[in-house]
Amino acid sequence: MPCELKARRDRAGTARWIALLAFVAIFSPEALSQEAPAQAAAAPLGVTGAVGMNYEFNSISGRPARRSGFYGEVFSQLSLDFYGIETELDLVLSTDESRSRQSAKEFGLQGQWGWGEGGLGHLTLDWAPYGFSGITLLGGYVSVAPKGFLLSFAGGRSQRATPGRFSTIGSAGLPVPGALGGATYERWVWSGRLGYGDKERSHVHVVGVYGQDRSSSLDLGPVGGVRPVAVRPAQNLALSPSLGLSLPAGEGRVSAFADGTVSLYTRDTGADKVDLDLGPLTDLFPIRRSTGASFATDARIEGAWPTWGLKAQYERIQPGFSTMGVPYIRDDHQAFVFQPRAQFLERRLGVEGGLRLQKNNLSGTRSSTQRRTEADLRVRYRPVPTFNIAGSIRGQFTSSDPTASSPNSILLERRTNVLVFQLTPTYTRRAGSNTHTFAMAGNFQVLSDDSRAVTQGLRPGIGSTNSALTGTYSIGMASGLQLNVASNLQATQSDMLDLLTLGGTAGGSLPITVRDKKARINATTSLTRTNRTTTFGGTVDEFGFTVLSATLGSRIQLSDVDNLQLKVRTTRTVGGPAPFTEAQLLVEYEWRF
Amino acid sequence: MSATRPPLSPMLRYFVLAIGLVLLSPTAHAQSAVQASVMGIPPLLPNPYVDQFAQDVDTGRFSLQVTVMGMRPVTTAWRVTLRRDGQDLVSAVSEPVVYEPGVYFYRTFDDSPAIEFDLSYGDIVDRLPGEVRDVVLQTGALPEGIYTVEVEPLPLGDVLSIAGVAEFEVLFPDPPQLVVPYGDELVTQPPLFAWTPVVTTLSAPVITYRVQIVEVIPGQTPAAAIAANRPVLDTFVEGLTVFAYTPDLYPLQPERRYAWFVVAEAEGTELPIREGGASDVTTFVYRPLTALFDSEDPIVQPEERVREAATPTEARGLRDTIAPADSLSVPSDTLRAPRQHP
Repeated sequence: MPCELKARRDRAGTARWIALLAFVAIFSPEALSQEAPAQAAAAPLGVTGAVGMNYEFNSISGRPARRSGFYGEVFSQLSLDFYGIETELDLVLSTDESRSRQSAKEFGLQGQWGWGEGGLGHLTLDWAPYGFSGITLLGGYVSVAPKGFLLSFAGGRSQRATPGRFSTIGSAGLPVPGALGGATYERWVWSGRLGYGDKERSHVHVVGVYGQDRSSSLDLGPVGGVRPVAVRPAQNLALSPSLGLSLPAGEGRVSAFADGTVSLYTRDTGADKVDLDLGPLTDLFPIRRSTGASFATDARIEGAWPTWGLKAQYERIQPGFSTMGVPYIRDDHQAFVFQPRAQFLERRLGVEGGLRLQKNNLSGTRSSTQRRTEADLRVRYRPVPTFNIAGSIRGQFTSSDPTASSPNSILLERRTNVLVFQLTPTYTRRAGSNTHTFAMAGNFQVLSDDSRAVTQGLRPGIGSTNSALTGTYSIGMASGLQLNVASNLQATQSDMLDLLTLGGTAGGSLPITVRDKKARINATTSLTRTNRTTTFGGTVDEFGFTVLSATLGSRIQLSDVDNLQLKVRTTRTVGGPAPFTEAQLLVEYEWRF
Repeated sequence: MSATRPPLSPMLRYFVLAIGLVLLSPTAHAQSAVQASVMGIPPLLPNPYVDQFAQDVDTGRFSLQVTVMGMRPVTTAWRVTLRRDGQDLVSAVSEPVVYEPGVYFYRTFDDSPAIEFDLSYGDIVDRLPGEVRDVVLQTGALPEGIYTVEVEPLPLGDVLSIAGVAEFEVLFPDPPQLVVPYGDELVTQPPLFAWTPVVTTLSAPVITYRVQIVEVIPGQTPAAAIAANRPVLDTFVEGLTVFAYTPDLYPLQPERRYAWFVVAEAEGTELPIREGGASDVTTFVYRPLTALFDSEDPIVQPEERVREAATPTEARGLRDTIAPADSLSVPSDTLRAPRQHP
């Protein structure tokens, strides 16, 4: 029976791939361009976009595989114009079905007509920064905007059920799914939007979000008398008002925006209900012991002109704030951000900066208060067309100050400072028919840990210095032959890790023509030596290894609209705890039309 | 000749007299005592959420032992007080309960003889001081601090009472914070990753950090990439808070944008960490100098070949980066077509 099932699955898989290839063939530009140009101009159906395929074959010996032996991906990005109705069809299908919360396989179908639009498939909508933004739904949406008024609905699955990592914390010694985190319930999110105006301009919008985990999607019942604590089915109800005012100012524009979200979030829908009546919402969203109410808001002013611009923003996210419509949001902090930018000397000099001041413990009830200041400055200057220099400096200063009553003040106190410097000069010189390019990149990074616990020897510090230097030379010849050499040095020193890497790379590329097909062949080989010492818990682990890598690739322009890329890479490591040999073949085909 | 007793020493005489007075006093025969002992609360609460704490109380994870000494039944009410950093948070008094002399073991207050409080969960929350109530309502968690639970007998009559006290700490350490690379930083070599450690007062738990790096396909948000894409790296680092991307690892692709984050786990303990131990997500762009030569015309600088990546949410928001969307460090994408999302 299992064999029969496997055979059936194999047949189904083969059929799917045949269907995919057929799909690519049907929508290929060659098939679509068989009509005469005049006919195409008059045709009601217009198609633009790209279709393609990526294949990856991997082989490794000497260590466990880090990539599957075969990976295949078919993608398409099609824009169809049918009698004025614009439809976009995005599709990505791959052989990779990982245990991640969302499938790597994606498709999207989006249509626009006059003042309406809608979509089906994998959608990433950005309706409210703290209410509904950044998550990818597998579902649909529809939006109408007659005369500037806006009414939209969206809904779908934002994550699928995943068991997470297994642990044996159960007293019976049985594996407990998700006990150590990573487990997720299947989650469904619905949203509605009502308002007037464009979100990026003057507008008044209100966005509502309702989300719920399907508790039956993951079996996390008590095992061995222990109920895992890492994951609970949750429920969320959020409301996000948004205001914007955007006005022209000379050649530029000045805008002011304010966004906010009030969120009711039930962390565990299995918790006891609380006797609190929300009127008609009570049935939809019962208040439980695990329900928290919180809010997030921001206000920002932006100005943009042809050669300069600035942005100032204040953000406040209250403790406990969480919404299902936004992934990875960090609660309990406020931040002020200022970002100016300018260009001078006919845009040959560009300067950008950023300053961010952040603080947490807004309620004053945490054991310590953390403050973080980030500042950066980036400059790019091109005094002459052949010389370009780019540099940046970035600082990040973090302190954590325990409250006076905290009994663990030494452990909770923390001071870390980071400084990162980067400099990249590039010089290009033409000599006859040859072009010489010299480039360097220097990166110096200092992380200091001045915490009292470190100075008193209570814990190891995280301080480190990291220096990286790369130098390259390239020569391009009239024949199209291009040769380059590069060397790199990286040195890392810290209490836990000492690392020295020294390496070199040589490569070249050559354009060729075979049967009227243009192609460029690339070859690169590199050799690096790494010495590494790790110190942790009194244990010192020291080893070195050498990595030899070679890559041979070609990009073949099959026609004006399609190309094929082939690349073979081999890597071999010598020495170290796990020497291995790896080979990889990449095949990429793309048809743009 | 009669034997003569040796005289008692003065000290011993006083001792015998004191014992005699105690034994012969009229109240000594009626003296009873009620003693409470609170057990099972760990010194560091493994889960700071109020509903979980209430569930632990309801399911008998914590226990109360009552010892009634004496010859007659004792009637006593109970006062349960929760304090944080020495300040009373909430206190409740039960209905009187009658005990025969003996030892009683409570897994829950419903065990016989039941201890009944005329108090709902909402009443408890309402009685909390303002700042603590706000935190509980917003986060559903107890604020950090040193807590004391006192269960005090309030017996009727002349009965000695001894309260049971348990102390525990609520500490909800921050997850790791990503230090470098950060905020769409351009790196010309495979970078050194560094993050802050999880700081806890537990005695030397070994924190394991799970480091994940995924490619962000143009048109994707970093969060969407992490949720869906194949990781370029998914590894566990025990104790260390730095990770070097050495040449033996899977090669990063030039001109690609990568998202990375760290999840801290204290294996073998029930240490609670905020956000489930997950750090923020941040991004970097790998641009080795050799990428200069991928262009048909080497004079063209990388910045000029930049095709703007569609990252409106992440670039505009404050959560991931301070780099603006149109900054000098906007990643280019010369090798792969952007995947558009509506």
